[in-house]
Amino acid sequence: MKRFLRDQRGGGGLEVLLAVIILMFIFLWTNETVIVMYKNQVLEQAKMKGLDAMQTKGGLTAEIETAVRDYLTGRGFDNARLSITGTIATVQWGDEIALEIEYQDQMKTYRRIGLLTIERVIEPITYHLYGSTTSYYFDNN
Amino acid sequence: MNIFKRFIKDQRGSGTIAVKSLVLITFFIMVMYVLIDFYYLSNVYRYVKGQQDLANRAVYAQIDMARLADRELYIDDTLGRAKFEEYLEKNLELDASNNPGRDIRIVGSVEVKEFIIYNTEDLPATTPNGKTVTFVSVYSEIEVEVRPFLYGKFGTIKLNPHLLTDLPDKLVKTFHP
Repeated sequence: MKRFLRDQRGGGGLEVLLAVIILMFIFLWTNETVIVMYKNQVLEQAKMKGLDAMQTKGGLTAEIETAVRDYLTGRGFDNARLSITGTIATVQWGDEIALEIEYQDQMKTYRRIGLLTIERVIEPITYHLYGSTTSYYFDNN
Repeated sequence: MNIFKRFIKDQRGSGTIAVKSLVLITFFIMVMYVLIDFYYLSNVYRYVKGQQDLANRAVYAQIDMARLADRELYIDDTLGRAKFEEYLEKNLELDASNNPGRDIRIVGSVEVKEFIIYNTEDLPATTPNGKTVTFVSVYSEIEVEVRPFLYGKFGTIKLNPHLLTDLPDKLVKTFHP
C-alpha cells in the first residue's frame, strides 16, 4: 500500500476509468430518482388545481378534466396513460369531493453485472395521487 | 479552475490519482445526496401542506347554517376539529392511530400540534406563528416525520407545516352580498 501511494511512475489510467464509471453510475441513478420526484411534483400540482376548481363547481366536470389533462400533457405527460376519476358534479355545500389521478409510466433502473458492466432495466411505475375535501358549491336559488 | 487544471495535469503517479479519485467520488456522492435529500424534503413538505390545506378547507362544511341566515360565519370548534381530522386522515391515508398506511414518505404517527378556528368574534387575531387574521379562518399545524435518502440512514427529520386558510373572496361575497 505504501509503495502504491508513493508510486511516482505516472499512469493511473485504470483508477481514472474506475472513477469515471462510478461517477456515471451515480449520475444515472440520481437522474432517474430526480425525474420520478419531478413527475410526482407536477402531478401533485395538477391534482391541487383540479380540486380547487372542483370545490367551487361542486365536483368534477368535463371542463375540469380537460383542463387537468391539458396541464399535464403540456408538461410532457402522455394523455393515453393518464386516468382521472373523481366525484362527479354537482354535489352541494359540505359534501365530499375527491379526485384521483393515476399515471402509468416506465422507470429506468441500472444494475451492475460483473465489475464493469451496467445493465439498463425498464420497470413499470404507477403514480397515484389522491385528494379529498368538501364542496363549496352553494346554490342560492 | 486552477485546481482542476493542476489536478488534470498531475503526472506524479497512480497512487496519488487513486487517492484523489476516491476523495472526488466521495465528495461528489455527498453533494448529490444532499441535493437529492433537499429536493425530496421540499417535495414531501409541499405534498403534506397540500393535503393539510384540503383538510383545512373541509372544515367550512361545518359552517352554522342558522347563523349564516343572519349573515354570520360561525364554525363550532369541536365539529370543525372532527372534520379536519377526518380529512387529514383521508388525505394522508392514516390509520386509527394516525400512522401512515401505504404512504412510504411519512414514518411514525402524524401529530396535530395546533388547530384553531378564528370566528368573527375572535377577530382581529394573531396566529401562533405571528400572522394577522382579519377574516374567519382555520389555522392548523401538524408534525410529520420523514426519512430522506442519506440523512434517513442516521435518523428522521420532523416537518411542521402550518397553514392559515380562509374562504375564497368570491364565496365571502356570496355570504355577504
